[in-house]
Amino acid sequence: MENFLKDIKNGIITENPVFVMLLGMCPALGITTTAINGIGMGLATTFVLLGSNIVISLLRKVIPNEVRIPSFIVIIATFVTLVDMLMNAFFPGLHDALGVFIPLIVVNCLILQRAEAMASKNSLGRAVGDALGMGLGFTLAITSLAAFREILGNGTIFEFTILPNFIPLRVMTQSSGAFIALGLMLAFIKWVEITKKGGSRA
Amino acid sequence: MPKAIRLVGVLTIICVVSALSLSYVFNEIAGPIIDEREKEAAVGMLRDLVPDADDFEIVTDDNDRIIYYEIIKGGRVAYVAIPIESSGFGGPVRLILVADMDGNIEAVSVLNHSETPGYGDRIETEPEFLEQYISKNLIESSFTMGTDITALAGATVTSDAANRAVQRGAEYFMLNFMEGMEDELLEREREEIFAILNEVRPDADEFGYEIEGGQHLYYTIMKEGNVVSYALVSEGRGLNGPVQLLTIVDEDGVIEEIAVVSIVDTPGYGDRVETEPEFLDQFKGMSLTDDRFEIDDTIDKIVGATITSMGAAESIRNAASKWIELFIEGSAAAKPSEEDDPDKIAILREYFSEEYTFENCPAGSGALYAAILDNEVRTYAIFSSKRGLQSDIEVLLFADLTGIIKNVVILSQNDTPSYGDRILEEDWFTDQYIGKSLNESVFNPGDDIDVLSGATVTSTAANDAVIASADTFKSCIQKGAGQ
Repeated sequence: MENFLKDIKNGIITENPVFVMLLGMCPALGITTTAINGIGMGLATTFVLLGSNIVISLLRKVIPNEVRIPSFIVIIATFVTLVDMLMNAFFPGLHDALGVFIPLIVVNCLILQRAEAMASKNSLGRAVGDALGMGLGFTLAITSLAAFREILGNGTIFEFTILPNFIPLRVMTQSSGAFIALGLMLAFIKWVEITKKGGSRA
Repeated sequence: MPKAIRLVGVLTIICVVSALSLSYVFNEIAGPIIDEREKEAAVGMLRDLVPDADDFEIVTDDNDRIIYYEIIKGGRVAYVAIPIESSGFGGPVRLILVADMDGNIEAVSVLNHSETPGYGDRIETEPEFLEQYISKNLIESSFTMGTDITALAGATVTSDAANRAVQRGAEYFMLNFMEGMEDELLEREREEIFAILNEVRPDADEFGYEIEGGQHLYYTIMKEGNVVSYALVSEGRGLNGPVQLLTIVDEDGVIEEIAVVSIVDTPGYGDRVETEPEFLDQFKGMSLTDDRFEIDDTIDKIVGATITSMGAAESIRNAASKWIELFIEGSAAAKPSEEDDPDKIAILREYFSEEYTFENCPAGSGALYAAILDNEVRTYAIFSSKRGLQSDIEVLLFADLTGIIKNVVILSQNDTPSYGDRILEEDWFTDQYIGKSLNESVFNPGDDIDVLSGATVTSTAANDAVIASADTFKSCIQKGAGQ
């Protein structure tokens, strides 16, 4: 249980996939125009991560080392296709908004990296904890990035207007805005880290 | 070995399980919902338009594209809903036309459009406009803008687009849901043209027409029982839609009169092709066979209506190629026969032999020469030319007695520097032909002959010239050999 909580905290804070490991940059930059998209993509990725981590951890003694990468990819692709179909059936609006980024979860390196580094070497319990931690960490990170962009680019958050007389910075809704926002947030996190360690100068 | 079997086995099992689970989810859970929702979205609007319908069927073509919808009531198809479109001010205006099986319009509704907010989009916000169509009949009613249908003031282009779409829908309905309507449609088209002819040629006694393959080929203008003039309908691309013209010519293809059949371009700008006769009058006296109809020094465009002017010129060019196709090609007498030309002999002497004879070959379009050495024909040389991008591309081709190509030379071209003119520099293009047979080889650009990328028009023209040479060779040399 202690390990399980540690794994979750590890995914959300210590090794946050977006802000620390800089994994899964494609969706993190591509779909983070509104906070809703961020949550949708985050949860879809968490679902895929959870499914693939569980299956890979269960099969870790069955899958021969030589064919592990193709096996992982088939398993991950299966879950991605499932998410794609189920989302199209039950959340058509979100499915349309995320578009091609749903099938592209297959190539999100975060998922293959967790399969390779964690699920294929550890017990089911730890793999689940890791998937939840990493998934939530990814969701939190891209949702906050998306919220940041939505506020500055549109004056809204979760589609509620919070800055009524604000002249939006349209660049924030463009892809260049994604890089700017991510850069600013990474700098902020580094700054917090450094001041916490007690150093005022890097 | 067992190791390899294990690798293959595990991967195979994973793939099979993956495929099975995906097909289960798609067929049993997600698929039906997705299909249902897509159908729902399409028929949701139809349900609003025909509230008392029992069911809706989507009719698709072989590529699963929707052609029309059947609306079922009381166990039979009561209405059809046809998606129609035409280009408006900001892009295509897509409508849906619902009519019963007798052609009575039940509803016309907007599917989507990108017209200007506050102007063109009133087609959607002011239902009075589309309501004008309700209870009109697709077969019997006429849909003339201004008399039968009132346009939205300030949104003329959009109104016109909608009206044109309905007219097309009516045509589609007649051809697909009514039997024997083809003749009816042709007759209507004819009446429209005859009305125009009546206006521009009051001197005529009678008008005739020629039909082939379900289409009018041309119209004739008769006086005292003789055909005095011909009239051709042709189209060019304008700003908002086709520029349709009626070109009236005498027996030699000299333009006597040009009338507008229909123009949908912007009122006050593009429609000046119709309202300012000076523009079309410029073409009078020009010849469909000899002149070129380009907006340039000889033909002035209408300032402020460039695209429509170019559309009109294109339309006349199309009339010219139709004229040539109908009356010039195939009648060998009309073709200017190639003549013995000392300049060509001079060119030939640079390549091979001293002595050449001109072979009269009226059936071919190229000029044919035979090279003679020691009193024997050794090689044939054929000059052919075809129109390239800016100039004629003249090609000289040498072939042996059996028609095997020995050499191809591009003699002249004036096409765009660093694009079309590469045909002179890049030898591989002409080298492609060497060794091919004029009798047997095919010369399809792209398949058999690689074109110069970026100089497609020029290469295709050169290729056409080679094909013309092959025709000349086949029609004269081979026949002569057989006799």
